[in-house]
Amino acid sequence: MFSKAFKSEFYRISRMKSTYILIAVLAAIILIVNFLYLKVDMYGLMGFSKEDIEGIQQMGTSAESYEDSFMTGFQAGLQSSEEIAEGDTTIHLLGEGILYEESVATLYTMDVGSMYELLLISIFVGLYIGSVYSTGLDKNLNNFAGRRGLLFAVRMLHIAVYSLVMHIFTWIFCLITTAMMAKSVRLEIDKAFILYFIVTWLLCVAFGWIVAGMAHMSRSKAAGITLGIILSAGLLSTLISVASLMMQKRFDLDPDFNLGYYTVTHNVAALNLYSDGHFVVRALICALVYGAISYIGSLLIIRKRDIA
Amino acid sequence: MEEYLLVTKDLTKTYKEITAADRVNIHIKRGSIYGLIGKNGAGKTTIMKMIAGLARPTSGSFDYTGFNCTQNEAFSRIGALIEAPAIEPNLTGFDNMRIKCLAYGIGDKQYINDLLDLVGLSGTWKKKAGKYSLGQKQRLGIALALVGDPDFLILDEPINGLDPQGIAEVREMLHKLNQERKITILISSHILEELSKLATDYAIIDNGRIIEESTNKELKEKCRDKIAIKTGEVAKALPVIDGLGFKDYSVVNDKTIHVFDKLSEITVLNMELAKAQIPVESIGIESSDLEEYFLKVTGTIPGERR
Repeated sequence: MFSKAFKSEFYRISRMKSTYILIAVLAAIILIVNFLYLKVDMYGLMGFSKEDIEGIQQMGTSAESYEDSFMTGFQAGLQSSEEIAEGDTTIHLLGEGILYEESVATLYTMDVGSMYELLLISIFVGLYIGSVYSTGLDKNLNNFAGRRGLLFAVRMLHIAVYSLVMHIFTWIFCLITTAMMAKSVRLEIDKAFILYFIVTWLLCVAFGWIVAGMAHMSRSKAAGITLGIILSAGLLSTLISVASLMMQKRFDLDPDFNLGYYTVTHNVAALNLYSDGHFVVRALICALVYGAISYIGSLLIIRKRDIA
Repeated sequence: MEEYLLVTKDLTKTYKEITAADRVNIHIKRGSIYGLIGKNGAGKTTIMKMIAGLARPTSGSFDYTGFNCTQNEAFSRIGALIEAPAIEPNLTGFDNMRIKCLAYGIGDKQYINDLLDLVGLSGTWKKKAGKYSLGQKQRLGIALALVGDPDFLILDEPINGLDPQGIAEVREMLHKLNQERKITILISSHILEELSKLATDYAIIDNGRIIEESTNKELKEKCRDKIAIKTGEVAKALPVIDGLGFKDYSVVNDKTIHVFDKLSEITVLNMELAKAQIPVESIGIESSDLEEYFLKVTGTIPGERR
C-alpha cells in the first residue's frame, strides 16, 4: 500500500506545474542574488578599494572584535572612507563582489540563510496539501479510507523529498553561478558542509511540515502559504522579541535569552559552516521538535475528522 | 435467503445538533441496483459517505457481509462518486485517472483509455479537466469510481448535469455494469423517473430516517392505478368486492382497500357497498408514478401515509 500511495502522490507532484515553476523561480533568485554577491563591487560602491579591504582584513585577527581590528587598521595609517571618496578612487558597479573569492559552500550558506528556499518550499506545500482539500482528492482513494495515516505519511515524505530536491538545486545553482561569476570554483564539501546541509535540510522539512499542518487544519491552500510567507519573511520577529523580553522579566531569565533562537527560521538564517557545536545541536533539536509536533498534530486532526 | 452485500444497523451520524442520518437500516442485496430516494438534505449523501468510509458513524454500524473481509479491505472494493467529482482541474482527464490508478496499483495506460472510452470521454483525455463541461466532469467522476474494478459502486446523483442523451447513456452503462460485471450499485438521484428505470430495490429516506425499503416490484404495485376505498368496515366490504368478481385487491390497513382490476366498474362497486350498508368515507381512482408516491410517503403533499 505504501508504494502504491508513494507512486500516486509522486505522479501528482510530477504533474503539478508549480513543482517546476518554483524550482525555476529558485534558479532565477539565486542567479540574481549571487550576481550581487559575486559581481557587484559593494566595497567599491561604498568607496573602498580592494587594497583597503585587504588591509583591514589582514590587520584584524580572529582574536579581536571587528571594532578593534578596524581601529587597529585605521591607526596603522589606512584612510577612512571619507578620505578615499575625496581621492581619485573610481567607483565601479561591476567588479569583484564580496564573495568573489569564496567557495561554493560559503555561497550556499548565504543563499540558504536568505530564506527564499523556505518561502518557495512553503508555497509548494501550501499548493500540494491544499489541493487535496480544494479537489476532494481523498474521496477517490477509497482504498485508503481506513489507512489515512499511511497516506498522510506518504505526503509528509514527499514534502521531505521535495525539500531535499530544493536544497540540492540550491547547491547546483550556487555551483553554476560560481562557475559563471566567481574567481574560481572551490566546492569545499567537507564534514562541516555535510553537517550544515543535513541540519538545514531537516529545518526545511520541519518548516514544510508546519505549513502542511496549517493547510491540513484550515483545509486551505492560502492559509498554509500565508503562514509560510509570514514566517519566512520574519514578520513575527517583533512579536517574538517582545515575548522574549516579557519572559525575561517574568521568569528572571538571562538577558541573552531570545525566543527567536528556538525558531526554525532563525536557525536557518543563523547557522553557517563555522557555527559552534551547541548552535548546531540547538538547530537540530528545533528541527526534530517542530517536525514531530507538526507531524503528530496534523495526523491527529486528520484521523479525527471525516474525509468529506 | 438472499445474499446481502451490505447491511447497516442503526447507522447514525450527527453533526453538532443536527442528525443527518438517524438509525438507518438498509439491506443491499448482492447484484442489485439499490436506489436511495430522498429530498435535498434528507441524509442520502451522509449515508453514502459513511458506507464508503469517508465519514465515521456517530453510532451504529455497517457490515459488508458479502465481501467476507475486513472493513478496510472492503473499502478497496468500493468505487464511489459522492457529491461533486473529485477532480484536479489543472490536470488532464488522463492524469486524474492515472493518479487513482497508481494508488490502486494499476500501471497499464490502456486500462485508463478503456475506462474513458466506456464513459464516453475517449476524445477528451488530453483536455484539462477544469475545461470539461459539467456532464464531462460527471462522466470522469464515474470513470474514476470504476478504477480498480469495484464490486460495489456508490453513485450520488451521477446523472446531474447530463443532457437527455447522456442520461440514457449512463443508464445503459450502469445497467451493463450491473448485468455483465455483476457490480452492485447504490445510486441516488432526484430524477425518480430515471431511477425507476434502473433500480431493483429502493429505500425512501426523509429527515435522516428510512421510511420505507422495498423492491422495484413492490413499489410498482404501490404506484399502479387502483380504486382506493376508505371505510371503517373493511371486513364487511371484502365479501362484496369478492362477489363482484374483483380478483386483484389488497387490504392496505384497517381503513383502506386497494382494488387493482376492473377500474371502470368503480360506480358499480360503490353502489354495491352502499346496498350492503357499508359506510364508505371515500372511493376513487388513484394513480401515481414514483414521484407522486415519494411525495405522498414523505408527506410533501397530502396523501394516505401521513
